[in-house]
Amino acid sequence: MKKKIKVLVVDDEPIVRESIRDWLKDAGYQVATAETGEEALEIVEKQDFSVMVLDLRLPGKTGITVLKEVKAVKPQIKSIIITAYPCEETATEAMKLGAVDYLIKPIAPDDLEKLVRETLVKCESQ
Amino acid sequence: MTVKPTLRSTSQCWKESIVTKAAGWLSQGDATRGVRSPHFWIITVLMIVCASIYYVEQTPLINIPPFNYSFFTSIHDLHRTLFFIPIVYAALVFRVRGSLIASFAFLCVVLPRALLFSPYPNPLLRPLLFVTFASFIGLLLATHLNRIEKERKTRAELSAAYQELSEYDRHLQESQEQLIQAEKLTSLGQMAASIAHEVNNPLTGVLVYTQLLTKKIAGDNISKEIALDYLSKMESELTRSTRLIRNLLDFARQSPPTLSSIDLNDVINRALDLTAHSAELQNIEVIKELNSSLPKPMADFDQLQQVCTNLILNAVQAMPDGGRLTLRTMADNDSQLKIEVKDTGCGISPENMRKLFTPFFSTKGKGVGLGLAVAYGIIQRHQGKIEVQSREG
Repeated sequence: MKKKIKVLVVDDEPIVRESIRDWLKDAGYQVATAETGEEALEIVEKQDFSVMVLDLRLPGKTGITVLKEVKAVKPQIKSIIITAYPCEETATEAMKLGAVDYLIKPIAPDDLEKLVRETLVKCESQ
Repeated sequence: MTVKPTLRSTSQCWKESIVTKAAGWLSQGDATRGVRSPHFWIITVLMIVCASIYYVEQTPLINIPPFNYSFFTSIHDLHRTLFFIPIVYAALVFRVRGSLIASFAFLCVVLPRALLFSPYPNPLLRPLLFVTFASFIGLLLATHLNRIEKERKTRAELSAAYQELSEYDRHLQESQEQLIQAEKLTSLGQMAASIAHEVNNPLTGVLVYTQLLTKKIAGDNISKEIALDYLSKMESELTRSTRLIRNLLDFARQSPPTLSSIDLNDVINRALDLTAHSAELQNIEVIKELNSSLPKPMADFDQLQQVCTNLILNAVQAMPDGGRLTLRTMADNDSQLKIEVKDTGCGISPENMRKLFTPFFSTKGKGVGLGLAVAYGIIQRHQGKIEVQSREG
């Protein structure tokens, strides 16, 4: 029996947010979602998460800013970046800020699930 | 912005006279050099020669060759007239000061002869008149030359300024072209980002739900309701992608309008029917001020309806917390028809105003940024004008 691990999905696109939530829930995770960076930061302050799936293009605070601020508040949260429009600069910056990996949309859900699993294994072994 | 000064070539409206040429090769520089200028010494020598010829009658030399030759006596007949040569020369080179000094020297030369040797009863009158006349001519010439030189200088300055201005203009045009290129690249980047965003997000949803469905059906643990919910989500996302492609094609195709006599008020009403739902949702009051006696122009109904729909949707989206949408049709005196779409939204910043009709430019976060670009294209093809007035805040 898998321990319920909490994942936060941040994306302004409802379809992305919901589909990833449904997939990860089905895989046995406990999933919370946020539409904006501001909302994500609010949730992160109140609850503990192991992994955050974060979109880079968000209205208001950008993904990179959210990544920085989450790192400052809860450095233990591992972040996986998802983006519809990959660009080298943001990829490098996200990796520098400690993101685990950088996935390009359309995302294959089993890839994402695998990445989440591997991240958690790495976390536990550390 | 380009600066194109129109200046006629100055050489065309300028007839070069001999005096002007003289002013050219006798530069003003000599006037300030005084005794250091070779011209000063040439003039002095000329003055001495003239004075010698003037006084040769009073010396015994007049009886010996070559002074008694007929050639010399004819030169001597020129008498005071010869002094014009050094005086004019001085005026040419040393201008006002030169002509005055030369005239004074002339006076000094003629006075002794008039007072000592003149056989006439009123000896001073003729030489004084002559000196006055000579100095007058000298001064006239000097001031004229000064004026010409000043004009020449102004002209040179003007031409230099013109050169400089043309250079600026060229630079400006170059940087403008670079800017246009850069903007093209930026809008291409924006286009790519928008398309990527509008296609990849729905695709993510479709991909995730397809695999989820497959997995669940294989595991036989899915209810009919959930399966239908997933399928309907997939369908709506696929429709969204289709719509994007259609918008893109509309924009790229820019089909010519199919003209028929239409009523602009009908266009507005139809566009409003399509958008009323979203206006209602957002607590927006719609005010119609439609002029019922409008002439019926030849236009493409569908295309104009699209323009109005786009404008109304923009207005609605600019007022997320409600507001007032005013739709007005009117006819100008010069048989121009106007449609006005007015909202009480947040307004457009001056910076964005410039990019408003650029394809793929959007401030809404959602949307591809084609609405106004398409509207602009349609109105252009109707030989119409689309104008924006906005106050931020």
